[in-house]
Amino acid sequence: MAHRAEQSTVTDINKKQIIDGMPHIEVIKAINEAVSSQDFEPQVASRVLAYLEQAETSEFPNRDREQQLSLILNALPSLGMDELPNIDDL
Amino acid sequence: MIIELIGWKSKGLRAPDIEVKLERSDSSVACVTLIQMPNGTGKTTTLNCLRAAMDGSAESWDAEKVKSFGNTDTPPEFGSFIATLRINHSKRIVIEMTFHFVEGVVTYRTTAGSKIEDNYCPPPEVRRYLDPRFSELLFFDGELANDLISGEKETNAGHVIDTFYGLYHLADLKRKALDSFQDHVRQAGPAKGAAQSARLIGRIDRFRSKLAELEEQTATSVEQKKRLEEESRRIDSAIETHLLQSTQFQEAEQIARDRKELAKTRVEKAFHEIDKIFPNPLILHPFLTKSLGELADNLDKLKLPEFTSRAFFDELINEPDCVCDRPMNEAARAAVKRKADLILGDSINGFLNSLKRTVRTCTDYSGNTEFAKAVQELVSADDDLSQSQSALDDIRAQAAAAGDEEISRQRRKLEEIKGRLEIIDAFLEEATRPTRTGDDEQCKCVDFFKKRVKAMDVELARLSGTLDRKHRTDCLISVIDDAYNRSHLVLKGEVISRANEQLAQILKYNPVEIEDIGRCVKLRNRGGASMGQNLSVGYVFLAGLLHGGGNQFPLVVDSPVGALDDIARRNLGQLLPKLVKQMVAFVIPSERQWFADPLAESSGGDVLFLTHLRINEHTKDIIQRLGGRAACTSESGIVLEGKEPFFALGEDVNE
Repeated sequence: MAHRAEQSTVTDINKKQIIDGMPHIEVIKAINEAVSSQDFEPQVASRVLAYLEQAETSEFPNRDREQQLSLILNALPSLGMDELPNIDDL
Repeated sequence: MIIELIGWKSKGLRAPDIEVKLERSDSSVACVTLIQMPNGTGKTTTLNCLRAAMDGSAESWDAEKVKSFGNTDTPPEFGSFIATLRINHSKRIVIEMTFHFVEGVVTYRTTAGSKIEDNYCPPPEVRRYLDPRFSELLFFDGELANDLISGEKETNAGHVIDTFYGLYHLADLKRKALDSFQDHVRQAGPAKGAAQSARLIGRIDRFRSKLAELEEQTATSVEQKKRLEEESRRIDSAIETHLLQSTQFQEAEQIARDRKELAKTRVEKAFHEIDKIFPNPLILHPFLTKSLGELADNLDKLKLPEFTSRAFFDELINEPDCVCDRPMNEAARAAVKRKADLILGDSINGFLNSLKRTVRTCTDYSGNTEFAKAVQELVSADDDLSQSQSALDDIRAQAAAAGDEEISRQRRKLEEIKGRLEIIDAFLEEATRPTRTGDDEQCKCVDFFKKRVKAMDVELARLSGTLDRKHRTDCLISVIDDAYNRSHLVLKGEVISRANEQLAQILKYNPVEIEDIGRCVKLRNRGGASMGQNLSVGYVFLAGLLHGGGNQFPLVVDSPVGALDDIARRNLGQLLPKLVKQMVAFVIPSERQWFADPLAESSGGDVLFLTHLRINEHTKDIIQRLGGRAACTSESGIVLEGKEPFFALGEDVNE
């Protein structure tokens, strides 16, 4: 799946066992629909799904959660104000 | 995912030292295991240990709780409880809890295949199903089933779906995003505004938690209101039916009811009449009709614009120059005259005439009399309805006063429901109203807290210079909320449809259908179901989740029939083996009757009967008389296997 592929490229820190069948197919569909209905980039969906997949594993330390969350936030549109600092620098 | 409970072993705990093996020699486990444990045999201890072994929760128990699991007569230094699970019919997971009674802590050891970990560490593929949010569903009792239907206690049927399908991870991500934003603000906040930011963060936390509390209370109140209204209608109808059977008040009650029905029809008719009038504003008020009449009259005089305009053109063709400064020669004069005729011709006159004609027809309405009459009729019909309702109430009060206990009881119940409804209505009115001037932290208006949280979030972002992060966090939250709503709706629909298919087969003589699943499981066209039906629906709902889509989990049930009557027990006994692949039920002797036999029959004999007794002076003789094979024995306890000792144990054996 696309989000699985992206996950392997963006989160090398999390090479843990992913549980098959989770998130549920309806959750995957719903996230893709929610992202596209709000005109966000498709990678928002894949990064949210990568986060959920990691949440299904036995260990998902807070540091990794923060990192995954930053990736999701980075994929979302900014306010478009040049003077605002880059989200990664915050 | 298939998880089976293979057995457990306890030592040095309040419960007797015992090993219970659920696996048979051919490696299979029984569809239903009935473990009879009279009071005092350590049933609660065993159930709590089983739950803690599965979800790892004993790591967070306080010292007092840990010590409460120790044997009170001879407190040992250590105790242990070992639970064995089997995953997908092959892999075994052994979870061992060691109770350190002196220190008051529990430590875990997990063995999965050849891997041994000195802590609670089930393999990842099993972990999510042993999470407390999920595993609590595996421990079922009659109260849980009732709560699922009534929605009056903590159990939330909608959350059960979220738990099973892992939708709670969406809520976790949302919480993480919000917490992370606040951490971010704390770190990014300028020194100058640090104190202000800290105060604001505290205030936001407080408001957010109050908002969540109010939203939860509102959702609960809405469902309670629906249920109470249905219950009220049901009681009302029961009172009517009961009165019909009482000859003394039958005739008067019938007359009052007929009058009420007539009044209701009159009210409906009057509303219908008004409804017909409303789209026509001319009938609503005479002022409109009068004004339109005046307009029509004035239109007759409205020739002025045409003459004025024609005079303008007439004057223009006699001028030496046009308004555009070009000389007005013969050709130009002819052109202006020709165009003027076109401009002032039929279009204006035609429009005015058409307008006048339309207005004339409108003034034919009889002014306000029609509307006034309709309103008068509605008021009169409504008065009639109130009077007939009062008359009906009077008759019912008389019937109650005349000593009809059943009606008195129903009326008391009705009054109680009305009282509760008033409280709920008052709360809902306050919770769902828009924000008002003067609202503060003490109010219960959801809108007020929503707006305040939003405003404070923005203020905080502004103070700390994190508006962009705030914007992105909001975008993420809107995606999560949208995705949750979409997926929950679809999955809920699937659960309802699957459960209804099963209910149609199982309760074919007394059909019950699930209409919706919100905080509770709502049944179609039913104000309240019997306890037996509640249990059946609860079992079908949960078993449908736990055993749907190729999944299989053990259902551990405490007192499966509870206080059910004999018919409900028999029905449930026949039902359970059809729903689950493995059920381990803890029963006391008084629960066997009407239940165990239908259960054994319905499972095709795939039932393991176990009787667990503590060994002491009092039970030694009883154990000898019961016979059966001792599946396990220790100094303090024994487990007997077989149907005969199971049924031979007297109901009065409580230690």
